[in-house]
Amino acid sequence: MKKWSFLMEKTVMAPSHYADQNQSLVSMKIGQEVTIQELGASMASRNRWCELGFTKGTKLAMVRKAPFGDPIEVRIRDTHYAIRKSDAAQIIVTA
Amino acid sequence: MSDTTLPFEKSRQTSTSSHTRTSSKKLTVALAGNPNVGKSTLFNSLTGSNQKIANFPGVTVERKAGQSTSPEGHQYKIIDLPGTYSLKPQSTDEKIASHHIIGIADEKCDVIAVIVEAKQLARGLLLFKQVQSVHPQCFLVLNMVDEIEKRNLSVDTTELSKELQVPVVSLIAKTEKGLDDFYKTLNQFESLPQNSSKNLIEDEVHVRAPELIFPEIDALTARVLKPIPKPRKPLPKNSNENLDKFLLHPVFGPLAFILVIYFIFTSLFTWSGPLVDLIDSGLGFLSDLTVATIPEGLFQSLIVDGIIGGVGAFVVFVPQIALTFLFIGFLEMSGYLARGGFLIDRLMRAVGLEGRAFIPLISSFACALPGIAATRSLPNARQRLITILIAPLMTCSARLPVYTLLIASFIPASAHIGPFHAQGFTLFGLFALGIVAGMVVSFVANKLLPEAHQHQFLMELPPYRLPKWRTLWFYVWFRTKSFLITAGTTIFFLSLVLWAMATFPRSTEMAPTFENQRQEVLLQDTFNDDQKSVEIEKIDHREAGYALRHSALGQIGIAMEPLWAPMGFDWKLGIASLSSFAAREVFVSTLGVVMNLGETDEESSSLRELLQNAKNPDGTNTYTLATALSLLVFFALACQCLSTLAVIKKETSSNKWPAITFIYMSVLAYGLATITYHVTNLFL
Repeated sequence: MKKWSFLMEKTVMAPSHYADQNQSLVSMKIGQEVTIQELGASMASRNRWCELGFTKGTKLAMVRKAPFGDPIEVRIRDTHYAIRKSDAAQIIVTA
Repeated sequence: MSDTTLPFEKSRQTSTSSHTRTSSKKLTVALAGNPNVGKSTLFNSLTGSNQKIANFPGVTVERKAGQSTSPEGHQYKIIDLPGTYSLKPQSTDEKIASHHIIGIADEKCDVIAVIVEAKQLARGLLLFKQVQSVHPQCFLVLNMVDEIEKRNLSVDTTELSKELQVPVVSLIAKTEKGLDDFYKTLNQFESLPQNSSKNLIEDEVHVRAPELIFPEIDALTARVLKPIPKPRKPLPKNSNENLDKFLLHPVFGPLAFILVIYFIFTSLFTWSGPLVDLIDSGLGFLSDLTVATIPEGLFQSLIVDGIIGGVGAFVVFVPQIALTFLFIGFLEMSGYLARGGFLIDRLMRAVGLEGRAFIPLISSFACALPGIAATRSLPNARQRLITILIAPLMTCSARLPVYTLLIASFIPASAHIGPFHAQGFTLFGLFALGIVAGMVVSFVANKLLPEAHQHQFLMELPPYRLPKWRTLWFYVWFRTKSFLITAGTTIFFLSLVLWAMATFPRSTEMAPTFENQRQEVLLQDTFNDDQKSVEIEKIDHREAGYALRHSALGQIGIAMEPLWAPMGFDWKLGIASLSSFAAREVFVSTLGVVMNLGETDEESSSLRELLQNAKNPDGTNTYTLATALSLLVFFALACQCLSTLAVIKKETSSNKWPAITFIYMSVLAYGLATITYHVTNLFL
């Protein structure tokens, strides 16, 4: 069950008491799994991020960083994306 | 629920009845989908070699269309739309795709097949739901169902079809499994009367926000994704992740990347070598044949020097171009291109480029033509344009003959700069000059060019896949072919113009003089036959030199002497530089002709000696180290390649960008060569 559960991830709203634990994605460690809370309002092409699945409540895994610590590889709904640190700073998550 | 007839099933019934009336129907089917979902593979399976690659009118987006005949004998026109994530376009590519789907493109699409990768069901369904909301006839194609089965999962297509109210076809494009179902489904659709939303404008298209659709999709995928009841095999190890652990490792990753680049770089030279030689000797054979069959004169010169010489200079690059397409195609389809971009992105960003621009630039070291063509792998139009602008600054192989001649002539083999040999150091410096100039131009272009959309780097790292060889072959074949035809036509006409300029006006008043000289040699009793032919050849060269000097090109070169002077060029170097705007490698042979040497190559020691020993009337050397360095800098930076400009015209579908490239490179070359000349003179 566990091995394929990522394909069936349902949207789970984070409980409100997590609110004070919100952090930006940049501060997350490799291997950590987090839940997206919101995307920064000033984020470039915010809609596109949503279309690729970066929506509130979605689970996101930190996979690895490129040689200079930037960009970062993340996994979301079983798809791997390379994102730049500057964009990651705009993604608010809870651990 | 089960006995309600779904709308599309109704249409199937009507279509079968109408099918009996009309023997075959013609429909335009557009393939839509996210990038990397196997759209091209499906397209190739449907159309085979019956396809055409061109650009969409007015833009640089590749348009792939082809004819497909179903087993029932129906004709379908298949259009492979550019990959897109949604109907809210972010790039020109996506705009084209969304215009076709919405129905505001010039071309009417009767049916939209949305290709979804089974593993990325949720993301694909987002696009599908948007398509469904704007187009009356669409269906879902679930590709790579085998990959999901490896995880002991299956998609309940009946359930999915019921939920979405459209047919769902599951197939494996790579092995063509399920293609029959695809055709059967197409058969259910009818031709649309006209573009239903022709008068709509893009902004009026309302698609629901992804934040709202995703919860529904997530619920839907949870219902239709089902574990295979009795797994036959244990779950395989995640080989993809294992490969990435190595290929994206902080230390081994960059090392492997360098190895890959090194392999490509050397292969572009060594693998293309035999083919280039073959083409060269083929061209040589054609020239000889022409010389043997067509009497000497203007027409022979037109064929040999104008057409074979001009087009040949471009054709010899075709093996390198095809090889570059092969490598780029393989890297792109295998999934490694995105990884390379991931590794190098931080470095490239320093000059305002993104990681994926690296590969086209590296290819440009072999030849700018395949490099510029390879920029198609860049999704962002602006990034692509900047990469195209700087690609001709990379030191291509055609510059090497000029570099070799000048370095060998003017830089003493024994000289050292610090611990380095001066000759090698100069060559290295010229490579570095190209790279640094490219970085500066990229930086400046980034400041100057307007940004249509704020560029975001959100790059998918697709799973590693071994490309299907047929798809790769089509990729190389159709691209090389279209490249050869489009750029070749421009080059053909420009070569003719250049040939005419170097041939006309023909000065005949000196012909009797040269003929007399030849007669004198023939009558000399003191010469044996060998000596006679050597002497006659010298006279021929003098005549050729004389003719070139008096041609339009030669006269322009001489008239432009004041313009050459700041760089330290005399009119001879001027004419040679001017003629080398056709192709750099022409410089050496033209210089040979103006110096009355005849055809020469870079190893020719006599041309080297002539350059070294040329004297001014006052006894000083005509060509000094300053001249040589200035000439080298000029060659490193000037855009002396008609083919490059023709290809930029093709790739940008405009006359503006080749003009800008030519102007900026000429100004840069002229300015820096002048500075080099005067600074070197100050120190000597």
